[in-house]
Amino acid sequence: MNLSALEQAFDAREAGRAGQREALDALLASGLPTRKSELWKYTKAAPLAEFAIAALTDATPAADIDAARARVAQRADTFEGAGRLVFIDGVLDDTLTRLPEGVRLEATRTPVASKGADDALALINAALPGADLALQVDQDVSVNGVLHIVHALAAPSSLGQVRLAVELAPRASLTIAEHFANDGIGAGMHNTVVAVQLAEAATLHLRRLQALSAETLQVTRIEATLADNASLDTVTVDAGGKTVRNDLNVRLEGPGARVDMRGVYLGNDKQHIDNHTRVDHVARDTISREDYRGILRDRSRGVFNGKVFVHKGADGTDAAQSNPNLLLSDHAEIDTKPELEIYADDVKCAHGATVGQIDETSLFYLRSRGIDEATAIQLLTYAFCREVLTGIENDVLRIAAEQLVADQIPDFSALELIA
Amino acid sequence: MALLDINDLHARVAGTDILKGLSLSVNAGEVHAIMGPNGSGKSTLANVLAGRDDYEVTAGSATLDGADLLDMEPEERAHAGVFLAFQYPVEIPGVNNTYLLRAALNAVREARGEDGISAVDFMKLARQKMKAMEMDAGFLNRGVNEGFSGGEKKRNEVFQMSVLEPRLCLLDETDSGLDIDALKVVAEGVNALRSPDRAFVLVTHYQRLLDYIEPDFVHVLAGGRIIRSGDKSLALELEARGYDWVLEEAAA
Ligand SMILES: Nc1ncnc2c1ncn2[C@@H]1O[C@H](COP(=O)(O)OP(=O)(O)O)[C@@H](O)[C@H]1O
Ligand SMILES: [Mg+2]
Repeated sequence: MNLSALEQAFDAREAGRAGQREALDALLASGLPTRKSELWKYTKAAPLAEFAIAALTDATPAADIDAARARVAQRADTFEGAGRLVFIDGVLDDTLTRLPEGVRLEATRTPVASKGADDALALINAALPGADLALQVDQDVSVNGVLHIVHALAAPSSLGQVRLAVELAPRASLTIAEHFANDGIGAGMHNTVVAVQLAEAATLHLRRLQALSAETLQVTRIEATLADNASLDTVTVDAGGKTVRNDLNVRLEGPGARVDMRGVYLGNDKQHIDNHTRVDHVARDTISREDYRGILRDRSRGVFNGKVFVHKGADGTDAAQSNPNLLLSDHAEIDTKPELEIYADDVKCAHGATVGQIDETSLFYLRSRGIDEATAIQLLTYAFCREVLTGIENDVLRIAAEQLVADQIPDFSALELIA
Repeated sequence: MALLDINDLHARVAGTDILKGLSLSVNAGEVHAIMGPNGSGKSTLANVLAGRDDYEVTAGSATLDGADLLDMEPEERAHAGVFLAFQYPVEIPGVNNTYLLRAALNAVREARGEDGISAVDFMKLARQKMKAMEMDAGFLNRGVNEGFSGGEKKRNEVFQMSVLEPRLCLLDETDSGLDIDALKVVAEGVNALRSPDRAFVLVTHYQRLLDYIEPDFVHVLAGGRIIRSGDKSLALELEARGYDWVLEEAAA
């Protein structure tokens, strides 16, 4: 792919933000990752980059932005809670945004650190226009309710780029639900980077839901750093999109820090869903828990790569990871790879990745009770990812997540059969 | 016509012949106990009748009220009134006990040409039946058998049976793993269901259960066939003397 188009478009726009030019130069120097890159072995970076660069030259008409705003407003009750941030094509929408009490929002100009070609999409995120914001919660402040972050797209050629820092001061706590939407416009692309900084004993619950159309692209990256006894708990539901790539990188830098990462991904048709996670146990007595579950049918493809890196000195690390997958078609595919690197003592690390089909005994049990085969299969499929969803303690949000998952199971209408 | 008629049934699993010409006739209102050494094919028989497809029927027939049972899907057999209480009930986290049972009841009622039961009426019924099984109502909110002890799973099977009111109840070692109090509760649950138009086939390894559920007939299954039938005194004799003498007499 030719990146000079990007440079020309970029120069034409006289971009002014700090770090933007540097990110572009880094990208031009490194080029895009090829399939030889470990991190982009199964997901092609070029089509994602191409879409983003094309979007740079294609400004979205104002009327489309207005229409997108109206669509989000219409669904505003779905995003009822402590408050909401609404981004349309990567621009914060002042009319729809409501900040909850205790949360500050500031413009920032911090460039995203560059790590070379493996981060090409993060470099694109840094180089191209998009929101640059920091959410801050002061020490000892617990924000009640959910802060929704809605990423909306206005046109099929839209690119929604957001760079968001989430900074929680000591003992602060916050729940965020990110919704990636394209509200029926057909296509578009999200490319977001969220940098999470949790100070001592701060707690962040992060839920991310997407049921994008089958033409939409999504790239998300979370870089989180946790201080002593801080806790991060994430639930990621991927129920749509054409190509989805999520990177979730967490550094446990203070003793007692803990991260819980849960996810479900449901692929239909030719969807491609790639989750890369990495936990760095830097400090001693840190805990990580990971449970990602995949259901793949038709010709869909799932990728799961879970890296656990236990640094020298991170003694007493306790890490557990599991990645069970259901393959419901002969043509569906999953590439799952746990990676462990351990340089410390007294470490507990458990991981298990499985690929299987519907359990025959469970299926027979349900049928022997009079449940027809198709419904029984749907029930068992749904039940398979159920445990991940129970991690969402907010009822409204959990029901929304359950509905996204149920909608992805063909002809499934028996949601009431679920525990 | 017998409620259940099994004639010269042959079945195999994983390439091995297990049932080798089994015949049995069960009338409505009757309780039949099937006893036999481990591995003799008792669970195979129960699973073949319920329609589990790991088991391949190679010859013979089984009918329910004259209809070909072997030609039906497992759910169709359930609709026709067959219920299997599993030897090892399955845990299905994520599928709710209550809703599964209500869906099962509605499927059965629909097949009988009855209207579905409302959620409110169902809860009333379920609570009442649970109480009879001395089960905590909290079980209703859990996943199917999720985290249940062995005894709780067995009670749950009989509880489901009492709600679904099947015509043919197949119980596969429902007594095993139960302490004496739980055994009595389970037996009472079964006895409460006894009726002139319902029949029971109790697979059991021990005579103990038959102290509480009095069978009309006792059969010994060995080598894939019923080698001896009698009344409840046969169970007592087996308890006292073991199986060897029956096997020897059958071989002679
Ligand atoms: N799914 C199976 N796969 C292979 N062998 C089986 C299976 N189920 C049962 N068997 C074998 O069939 C025989 C009869 O088993 P079963 O019907 O469970 O006996 P019982 O219930 O009388 O103890 C045993 O030898 C057992 O090992
Ligand atoms: Mg058995």
